[in-house]
Amino acid sequence: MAMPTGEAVLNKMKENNVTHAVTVPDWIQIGLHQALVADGEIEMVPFCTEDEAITAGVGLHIGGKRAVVVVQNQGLYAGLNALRAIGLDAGMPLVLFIGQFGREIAAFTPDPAKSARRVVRILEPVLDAVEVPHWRIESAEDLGGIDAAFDRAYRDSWPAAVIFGQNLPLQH
Amino acid sequence: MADYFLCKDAIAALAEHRGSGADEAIVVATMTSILWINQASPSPLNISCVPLMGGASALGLGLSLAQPDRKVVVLDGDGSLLMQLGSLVSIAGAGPKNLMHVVFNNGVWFENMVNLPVPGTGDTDYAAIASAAGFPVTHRFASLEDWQAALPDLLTTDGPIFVELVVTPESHNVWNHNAPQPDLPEAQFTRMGNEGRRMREALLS
Repeated sequence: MAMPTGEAVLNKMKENNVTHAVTVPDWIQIGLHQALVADGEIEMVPFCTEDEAITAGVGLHIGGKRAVVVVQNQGLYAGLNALRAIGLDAGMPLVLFIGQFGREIAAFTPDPAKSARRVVRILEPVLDAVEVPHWRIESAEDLGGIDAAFDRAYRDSWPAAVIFGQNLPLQH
Repeated sequence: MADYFLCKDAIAALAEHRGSGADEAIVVATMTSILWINQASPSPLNISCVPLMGGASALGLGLSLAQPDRKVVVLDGDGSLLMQLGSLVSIAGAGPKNLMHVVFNNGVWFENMVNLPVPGTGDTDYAAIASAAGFPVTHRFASLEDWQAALPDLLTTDGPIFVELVVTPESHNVWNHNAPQPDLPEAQFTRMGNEGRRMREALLS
């Protein structure tokens, strides 16, 4: 089953009233980055660190906008303290799109816990450890996970993560 | 007037020019400045970036992008900025006209608690770094009088603006054997969320 296109993910962001994509760009989500740039409706704001992107995402929420944090798994690890402080301790809603950088394509394992690469294998356990609910997007059929993440984040005023398991293709 | 240029006096001066109603500036404070802004100018538009050292600049950037018609002032520390020095580049790139990033260069971490030196030679020129990062307006003030004189224009000038205030760290309450460091209050870990919710309500109501 094919992964959803960047445009399909972008449409889900629009359906969920996203105004800003705050990002340290992700290898897996290049299709989404390109779709965001081509479309232009959602403002993409690049940051130097994931700490900044996460913190600014909550600042946007406090100011009345809705941001998605677009990063890769390494970025989630780098930004954990900001997520702990302004997402978890502060109890703020924030949806993170996280790409599984390093996921094997040729020797693909349906369960990322079986990956030979630590950077892939530990993502879900790390999210579990910091009590962030998460949804996998492994095919176009999983796109409903994006809606579920937004529903949970804004219902509970809490971070939620969407994990993209393979590269997002471009539609054009 | 103080013999030295102190953080608390700089913030008291800012409070006089903060504005009110729809023109009241949002203030994002961290570390030493939290106490002084809430004494000089308590407001639902204050938020304390704690415990998240280094986060104030990005929090201010997010708020400034969400509220482009309202001034946003970030009260940062030199030690805090050094933890996220790239945020100067991020802010310059985003280019929010309504953001003023103030950094207190006191040369220490934990002012008036233990006063440990921040990294560097002691001569770091943060305004020069901000200018090199792309801030269109930067200033460096080493006296209260110069800061007071500049404030009215700074709060009405398009930015992003970066201001370095070279201040003297206070040291009269530094911890010692007979006056050890106190336990951290629970509010230290909950206030950012509570203040954020209060600010959001104030801004959107």
